[in-house]
Amino acid sequence: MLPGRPEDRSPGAAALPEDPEDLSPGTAAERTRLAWERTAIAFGAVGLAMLRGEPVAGLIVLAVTPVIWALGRYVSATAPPEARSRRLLVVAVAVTGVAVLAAVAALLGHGAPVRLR
Amino acid sequence: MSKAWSGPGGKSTARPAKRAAGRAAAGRRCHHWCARQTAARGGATGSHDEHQEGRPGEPGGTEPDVRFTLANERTFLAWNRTALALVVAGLGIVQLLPPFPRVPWGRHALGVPLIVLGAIVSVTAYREWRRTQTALRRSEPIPQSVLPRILVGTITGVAALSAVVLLVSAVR
Repeated sequence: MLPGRPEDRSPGAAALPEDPEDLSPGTAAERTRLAWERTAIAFGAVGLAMLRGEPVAGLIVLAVTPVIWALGRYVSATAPPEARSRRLLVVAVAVTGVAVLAAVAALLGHGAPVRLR
Repeated sequence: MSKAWSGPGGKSTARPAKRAAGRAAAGRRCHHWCARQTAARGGATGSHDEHQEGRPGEPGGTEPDVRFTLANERTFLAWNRTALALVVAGLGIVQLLPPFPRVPWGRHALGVPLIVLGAIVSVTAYREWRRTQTALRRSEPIPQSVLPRILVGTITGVAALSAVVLLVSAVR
């Protein structure tokens, strides 16, 4: 439970609004923050997985992880649209970069036999 | 709040008549770059009781309910986690599997398409986030996502290919 968040106590069924979120609007922001944290954890997992085969690429991906986490800390309901757009662009660029690193590692990496006969 | 979030690909039925009328009057039936130019020139934006006015320099329309914005953002993040999972699956196939007997290209043929799919999913997710956000701002129907089709097509292809690789490596 975050400080300042309204208590999520449901009133009687008769008083339930059409959208349960009207009871405590903070849950949407909280869910979004959790989604950011899951994404950061996914980055960390990918970095650890790459660390074994490709230590340099793995370290690069691990270095991105705290950046994603920090971006998620500032999920704000009042963020200007352009700032939100830029933040999501960072995520898209980071994931695409990880894919490029992985493709390079897969094609040229250690123990990757690229012998097409 | 009467406007219902209809989910990705769904058709939003709730369209405030007042705002639709305002948009028709302003003649702003154009795509999002054009709408942004209109907004940058100080073009008129529809007004809505609960929503703040669109500011110059932003895509046209008015700021949607923040819950829709956040839901759109979560969808984008979920697609990016899917993309990361695809990348790590592809890399795992290439680097962790033992080579298929008699099919030396097998691991690369299976893993590299998954990695490429990860990059495609991430870029497409960003473009669709922008498109959906623009539609939300203008209270238009949410555009249908192409991502499920891309994902299903590629995963089906990789599954078929892995069956072929396994058969070739076992039979020949």
